[in-house]
Amino acid sequence: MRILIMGAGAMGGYYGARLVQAGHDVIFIARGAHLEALRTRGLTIVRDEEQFTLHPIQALEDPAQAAPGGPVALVLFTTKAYDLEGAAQRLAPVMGPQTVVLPLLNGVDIAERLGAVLGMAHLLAGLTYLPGNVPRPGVINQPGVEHPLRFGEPGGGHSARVAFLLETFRTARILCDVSEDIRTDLWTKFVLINSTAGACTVTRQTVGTVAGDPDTRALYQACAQETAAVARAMGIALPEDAVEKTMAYLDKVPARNKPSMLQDLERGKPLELETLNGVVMRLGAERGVPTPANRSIYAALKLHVNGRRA
Amino acid sequence: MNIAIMGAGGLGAFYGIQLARAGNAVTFIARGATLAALRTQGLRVKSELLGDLHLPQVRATDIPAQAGPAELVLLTTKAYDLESAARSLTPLVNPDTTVLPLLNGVDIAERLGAVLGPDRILGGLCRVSAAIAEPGVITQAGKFSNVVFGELSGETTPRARAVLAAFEAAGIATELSPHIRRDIWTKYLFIAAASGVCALTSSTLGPVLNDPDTRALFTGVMTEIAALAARAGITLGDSVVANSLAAAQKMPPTMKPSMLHDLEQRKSLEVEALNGTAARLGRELGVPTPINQFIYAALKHRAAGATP
Repeated sequence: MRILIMGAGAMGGYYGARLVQAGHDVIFIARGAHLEALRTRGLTIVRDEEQFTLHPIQALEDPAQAAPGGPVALVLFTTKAYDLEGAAQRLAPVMGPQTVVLPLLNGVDIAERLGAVLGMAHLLAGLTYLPGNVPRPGVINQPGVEHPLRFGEPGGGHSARVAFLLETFRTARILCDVSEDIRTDLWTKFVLINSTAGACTVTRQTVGTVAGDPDTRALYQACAQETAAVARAMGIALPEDAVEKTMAYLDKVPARNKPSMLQDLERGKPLELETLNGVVMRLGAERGVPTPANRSIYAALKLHVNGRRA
Repeated sequence: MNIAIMGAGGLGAFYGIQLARAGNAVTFIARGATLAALRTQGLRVKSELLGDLHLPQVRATDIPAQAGPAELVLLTTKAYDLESAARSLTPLVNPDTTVLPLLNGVDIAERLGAVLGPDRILGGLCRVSAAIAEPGVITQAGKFSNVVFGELSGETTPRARAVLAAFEAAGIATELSPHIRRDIWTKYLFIAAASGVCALTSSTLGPVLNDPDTRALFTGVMTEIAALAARAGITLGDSVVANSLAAAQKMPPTMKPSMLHDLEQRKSLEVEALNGTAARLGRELGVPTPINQFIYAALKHRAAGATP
């Protein structure tokens, strides 16, 4: 199967490597020093119990460079969430009538935004809790436990293409399952991700510090409550205890954890603010749900959204 | 006049050098490298308004009792160590000592009064941008350096007249105000917005005012504080928010309020005295202050100057 990994970071690189090992024709899209390393030294995966290098691999800067080989069957969309539309447009040269695009990045409107560019019929929706980082170009570090990659049809239900992909992933030793209501799963995860990213980034603090102070804890809680309220206003059947579980998460995760938006801010990189607190603010405004905490976080961080300041 | 200056930073040094050159007996209470520099090299002020000034012989001590008894204590510390500063002053105040605080905050006089007795406290504020360049050397920027002060009761008293006379004799543009509480609230409203939002966003004033979302935070801070003032019985006027916003828009876009400056230098932040106080007063007075509470929560963990 011909597969394109749009964004060969910690997540895309790892899943791509598994698919290469299973014998698929995998094209990795990357940039800069990481791309150069993938081309010259291959892709190295470091896990607790194993380490392996795939070399040579197909690593390209632009999907258009893969167009001579024909359309791909699957795009795993694993870039950062800024410039989603621009990234989607770059996929056009490798899209065929049957191409399936599975985005795995955090957010509740990712499939819709990609679908608006590529055609909604191509889109699945998915999420994963795969921790990891790129300690140096060409190397992907995957510590900790692997959680299942969960995916499904964006509108719910089951389909033959979902069943086929499930089989493909399982054969490639990717832990995964199928959801018949992926929107609810996405929103449930999003309540947590959005609150953690917003509260930690605006305060520049770790999860532990945010959890341990009543004022920052209240900010996190307000973020979660607003996000849940927006979800319910949109008809998402969020679990009753979504906010409680989100609060409990604060005390469960390692205190030193820093969400990726805070790490991006500290490194002067662009922020995924528009797909996090920004989207809650916008959807809330559309549905008449007040979102003051998300709005304030959005305003506090928006001057940094393009990463021009550290 | 015997004057003790508590806090020989930018403000204290700037006004202190003028009062000393006018013949007042001025003692600076300072610590560490600043104290050593004042004793060995004197005090230097590089001022856009006054040019370069040098006071070669400076009376400076780190023991407040040695600065007294003072007729006037000018309090120019940062607001975060106000209570400890006030406690350290008790040895040099006597029944006739007047204390004039010039630092940012809306409840400064009340907090000082709780430690030193309310009767000796005047209300005051200043509009000057002055900072330590190096120990013993301060720089003053801009065209403003005026002091506004008055009795909290609004009366014109002999001691207030005496302070006015001393400041005017030193060439300091000074106003004895019959409504100093209102003046303090008006300045506080502006500073809490400018310092709070610029520190929150790590941005100078211009970009904050240009963006509709950050400008909404800016006006939100002011609107909440105007409501607090009204509930506290202080009338700031209907147009105080619009006027303050207009004043901000006339300032240079590169302006860095002091809390942003402190944040960048990883110094302690006055967020407790600014947005933290608005949040606390909001709870006490039953006035919603969500934006001040948000800014306070966002900055409080960096207030100690510990984290980058």
